[in-house]
Amino acid sequence: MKLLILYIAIFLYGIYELLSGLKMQSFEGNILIVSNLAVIFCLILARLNIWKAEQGSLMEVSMEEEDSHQVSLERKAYTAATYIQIAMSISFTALLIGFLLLRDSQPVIVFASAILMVVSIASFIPSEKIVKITNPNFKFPDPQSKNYHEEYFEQFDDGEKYVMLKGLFHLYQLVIWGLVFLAFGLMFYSVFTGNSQLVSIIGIGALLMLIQVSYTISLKPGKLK
Amino acid sequence: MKTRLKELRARDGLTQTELAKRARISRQTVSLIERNEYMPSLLIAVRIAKVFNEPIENVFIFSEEELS
Repeated sequence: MKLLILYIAIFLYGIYELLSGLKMQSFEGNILIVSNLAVIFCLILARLNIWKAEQGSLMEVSMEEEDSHQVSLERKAYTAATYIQIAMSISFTALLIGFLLLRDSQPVIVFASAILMVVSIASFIPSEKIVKITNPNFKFPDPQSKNYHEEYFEQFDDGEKYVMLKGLFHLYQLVIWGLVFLAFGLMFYSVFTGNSQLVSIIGIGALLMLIQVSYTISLKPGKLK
Repeated sequence: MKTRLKELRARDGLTQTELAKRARISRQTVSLIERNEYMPSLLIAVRIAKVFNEPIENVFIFSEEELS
């Protein structure tokens, strides 16, 4: 709750700063302040959902309502995770664009984006309270373990892995088509504006190859011993 | 495949969370099985049947067509 109030205070201060310096700052500067405010807003919504989930987990409900109550808590926890992911993506993009355009003229805005990215990443570290709600049987592996990622994955049961697999398969197709359309878009952009995006197109091509080859290799049957 | 999970849970007065805890699986998996969106692995099916103290074929019912 304290963190939620802090985020709201920073958000209000940010809006005040934006409105008071609206005409004095560059267009890019204003856009990046709005992006930073959007990040804080997402973090506020995430915190709000986490708080609601935590409060809900303390409630006592009848046996008939328990399943639907549990589902609503899990949905709140996942909504919070979604907002944190949006915050992470916006702050990351804002940091890169800010560094490109405003590092000399308005470094404070770029610095704010960097801080917000760190805060978003830190917010994504799963809190035990939330994991207890979504996955009560989940046990975090020893952080010192050499096989941490494998052990972490093995904590999920077959049903959860099935859901993850389905999600990842859709994501795989989305990424492939997304990259293809993006490369085409950059090609047309380069042709019509004369602003060459050659490096980006090569990067996308390399990424496309890497994703598809690594996926196919993962499906390849192992040698018989 | 049909499951009698919901019916057996009602019989034993178990919520999805409670069944998940006893079968050492997640509530999401129980929900997926109940909605016929996921066919459980043998290990999970055995654990669930054990919770209800029923033979596995009394919990998960396959049609003749599926078995032939």
